Amino acid sequence: MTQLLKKLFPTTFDQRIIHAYQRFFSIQELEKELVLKWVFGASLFSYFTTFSFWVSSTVLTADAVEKGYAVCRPYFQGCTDWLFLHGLPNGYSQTVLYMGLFGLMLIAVYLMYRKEWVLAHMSIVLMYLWHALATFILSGQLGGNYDYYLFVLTTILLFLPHKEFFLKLCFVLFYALSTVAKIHPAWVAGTYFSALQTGLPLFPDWSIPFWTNLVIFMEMVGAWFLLSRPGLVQRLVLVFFIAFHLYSGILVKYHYPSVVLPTLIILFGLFYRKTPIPFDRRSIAGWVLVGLLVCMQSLPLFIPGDEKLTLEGNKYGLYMFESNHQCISTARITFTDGSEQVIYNESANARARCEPYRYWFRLNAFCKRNAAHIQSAAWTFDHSINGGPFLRIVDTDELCALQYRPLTHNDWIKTHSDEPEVVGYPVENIYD
Amino acid sequence: MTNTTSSQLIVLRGLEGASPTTLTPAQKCIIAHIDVATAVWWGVLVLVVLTLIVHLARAWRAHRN
Repeated sequence: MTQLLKKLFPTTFDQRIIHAYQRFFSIQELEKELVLKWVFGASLFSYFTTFSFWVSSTVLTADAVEKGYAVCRPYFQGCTDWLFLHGLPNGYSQTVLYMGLFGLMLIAVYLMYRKEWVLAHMSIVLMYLWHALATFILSGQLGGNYDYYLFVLTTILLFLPHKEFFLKLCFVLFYALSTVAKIHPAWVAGTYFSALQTGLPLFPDWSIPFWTNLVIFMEMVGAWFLLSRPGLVQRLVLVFFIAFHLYSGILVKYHYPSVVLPTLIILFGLFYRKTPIPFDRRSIAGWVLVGLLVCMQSLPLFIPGDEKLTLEGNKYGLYMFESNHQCISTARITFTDGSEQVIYNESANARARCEPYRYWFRLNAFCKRNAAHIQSAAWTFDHSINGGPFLRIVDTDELCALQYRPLTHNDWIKTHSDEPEVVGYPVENIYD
Repeated sequence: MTNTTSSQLIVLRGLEGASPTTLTPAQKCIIAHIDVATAVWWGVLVLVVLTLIVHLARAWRAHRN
């Protein structure tokens, strides 16, 4: 027991609870291993970069619900009932929360400096809980791939035994899992990038398929050599992935590299050593997590239709750069007084996933708010992927009666086998 | 009365004479054989998974002995 812990928890009963907490979450590993202390710092930095984005985002606020642009996860469509924060300029509660978390980050840094790892652990658990709640329960708009990284890596770091081994394994597994989303013309032929006005950054168009297939190969096969014995091959693969993340930052900017690169360099560069594979009873939780990650990534494969076109199940696993999207949504609402409103939305940004679900969720909220005055509502949704034709994948006169099922194919979304109508071809789009 | 929100930004080329976004010769070749190309990658992925399973099984056996 450290001095500060003894001061804060003076009684024998308190100290028993602290010991149990320490044992249950394997905090002694954190106290002993320098590599884990550094990953702890990197995780704190990741929370800083994540929350510095969230503090200005309005999607987690009651304001988003009132204005009709909040979107929930498909498996928890009632999340809007739980949003209570108000962001600037409508209120202070959101910024109060995030400044509280900022203060907690400062405390965590001080506790790390004092080597008070149990208390530092407790302080970062609060950030972990808020991040997990917001990413997976309270909103369908915050879960970027970098949030999946942060969630899984901190789950291991904070709660599981054999932290170093499972951090390394899951980090490499993420690379391999991401290729499941990339086995598609978007990457195999590189049409994601040739559909962009600006093409692939820094490289000529003719070389696009070479680079995209090289990335698939390195993520699927090469990444496993990050776990090999320290030597030239391990270092070369590390250099490749550092270069890859710096390069990808040309498109994705700072957030992704800030979450991934520090942990990559700490685990596989600065403090790398080959870690034996654990098979004891304490390792079961880690193996269950590995199994869950594989299952979640495989889930969309069991939903009929082209996942990239329908985007059903797309976000249950990693979905980075899975396809270049463009879409047009047109809803025609006829009211009981005879007037008509057209709600028109479109996106030409390759990065913005054109999920029919997201557009449906907002239109459905509109239907519910105006149920008493709506006579009929028709909706068309046209989606183009990787520069291909705009396909009319939704065409209905019963917009307000549609339901969305999260784990199976929704019949009202057409896929290639339904031969959806071609409504036009796109010009090259942008990445923003 | 019709009230339209938002304005149109996306340019559609229309259907007549339209062609998908320009592809390089290498891409045209891959697209022509896309089923084979994706099957190859799925095959590589299966091989990777099998290799990992064998590696884990060996480590498990060594651990038990």
